[in-house]
Amino acid sequence: MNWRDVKDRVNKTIIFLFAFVGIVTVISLFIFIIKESIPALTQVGKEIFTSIYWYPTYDPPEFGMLAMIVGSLILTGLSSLFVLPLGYIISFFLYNYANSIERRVIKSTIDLLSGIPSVIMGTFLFIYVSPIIMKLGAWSPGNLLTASIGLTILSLPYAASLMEESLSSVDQSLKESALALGASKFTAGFKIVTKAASSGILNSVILTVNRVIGETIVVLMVSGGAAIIPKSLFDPVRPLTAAIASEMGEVSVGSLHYSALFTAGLILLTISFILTLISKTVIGGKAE
Amino acid sequence: MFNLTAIREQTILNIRDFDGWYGQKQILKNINMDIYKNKISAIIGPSGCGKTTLLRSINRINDEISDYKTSGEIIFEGKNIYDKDVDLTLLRKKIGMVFQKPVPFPMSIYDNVAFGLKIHGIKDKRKRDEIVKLALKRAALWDEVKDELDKPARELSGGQQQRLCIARALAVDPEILLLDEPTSALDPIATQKIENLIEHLSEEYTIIIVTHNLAQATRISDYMYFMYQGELIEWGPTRIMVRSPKKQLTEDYLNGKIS
Repeated sequence: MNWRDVKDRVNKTIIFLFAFVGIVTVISLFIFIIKESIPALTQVGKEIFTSIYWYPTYDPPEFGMLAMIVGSLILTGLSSLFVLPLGYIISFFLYNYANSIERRVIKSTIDLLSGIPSVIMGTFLFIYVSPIIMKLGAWSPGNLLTASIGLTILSLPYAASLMEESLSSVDQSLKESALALGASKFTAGFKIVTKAASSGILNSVILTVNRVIGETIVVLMVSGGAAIIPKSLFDPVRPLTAAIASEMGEVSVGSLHYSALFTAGLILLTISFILTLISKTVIGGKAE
Repeated sequence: MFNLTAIREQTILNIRDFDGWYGQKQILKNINMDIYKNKISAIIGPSGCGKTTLLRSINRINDEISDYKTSGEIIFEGKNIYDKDVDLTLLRKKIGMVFQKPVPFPMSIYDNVAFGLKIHGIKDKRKRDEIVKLALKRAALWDEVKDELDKPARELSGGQQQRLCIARALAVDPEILLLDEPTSALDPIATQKIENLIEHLSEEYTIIIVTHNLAQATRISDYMYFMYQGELIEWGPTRIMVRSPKKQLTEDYLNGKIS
């Protein structure tokens, strides 16, 4: 073996090790979270998923997460209901109608928006938006609607630019073929290009929803924090992320409460894992 | 004696003093030419000479490119197609186009052909079925696909896809068919089929084809238009132009000295 081969092999090994870091991190993260959740899962049992009573510091403590799971899902669902159509409309405008100036203005606004730290967004919502919502009838400054607005603003740049990318990646002559048949710009963009981009758009949807469900700071600041199942837009919620963020700093390591918070993390991770899996399956099926 | 009125009656499209710019860059320089009805006209020339831009100006699909500007006239049915009150939907119904790459829509074979019919308001299902069948027959595709009209169009071969695109354009009953290098992405056998088809179609339609395949242009076209660096250098009946070009540039191109 000559010197060049040795060098090549060394390089390859080093690169392989670095490339492997990502995989190792993900796997160890999963192992770590599962391991820390086991005490809560075995000692509290199915009550975690069936009880709405989250009183981890009472005596005896209660660890029902149903309200928080439902809170996370409702909050995500509602925000997605706002952000996905809005994101699509923005991307559709950018793709189909915007001239170069409009395009530049909108794109840089979106970039700017995506750079705003979520804690600033939370503060803004708390100071300026909450009072308006309260005037409309909310009884708590933090509530489902305010949190949804926050999540919508935060994830909008993400949704819009991902969807715009999927639309733009469609072959230009597909759109022109539709136009050349006499189709309007709207028909060409909506019926042909959007359909051709459907797997990319679905992927954008999943990524956006994933981002919404994992967002923490805004919901911590403006969701209200009460672990109840919300019955109206004005009720407060306590999503899983907010519970973890606000309580993790105060539990004693190794306690049942500590383990229960990891269970909450495990639930979040599982939801986003399932979403990713769905998107991979659907897109994989489409590609063939 | 040269009978001007007789010629005018045969032309379907007259391009007059036509200029085209991308931003500041002039792509088409004072183009003047006539297109004859039910003939195959081939626009030839080296890459970047403006031939595709000219073709794309004829159905105004180049309007899609945001900084494209034109001046001069393209007269079709006695009217400049660049007039403000032109109905683009109607114009594009009458002047169809097939692109370089076969681009079937993400739907079934049937729906691909029926797409234009829906746009132009043909709602009667039986009539639509009939037109789809006729268009596929004209595009010499019917026999190959008649039993699988519901199959996704993307499952067809490249050559079949391109004939599907031609059928799709024919379904809305155009008068002129613009073909932008329709065979450059196809293998020789599929190319041969499309060429035969084009010759056949010229009985009913006026065909304008852009190609950088000189042999193809010579084989199938009745008229030839040679462009070089944005200018129309020479045009005329293919047989005459190939045998005795008037301009040195044309001769050089035909002899392969410029490409």
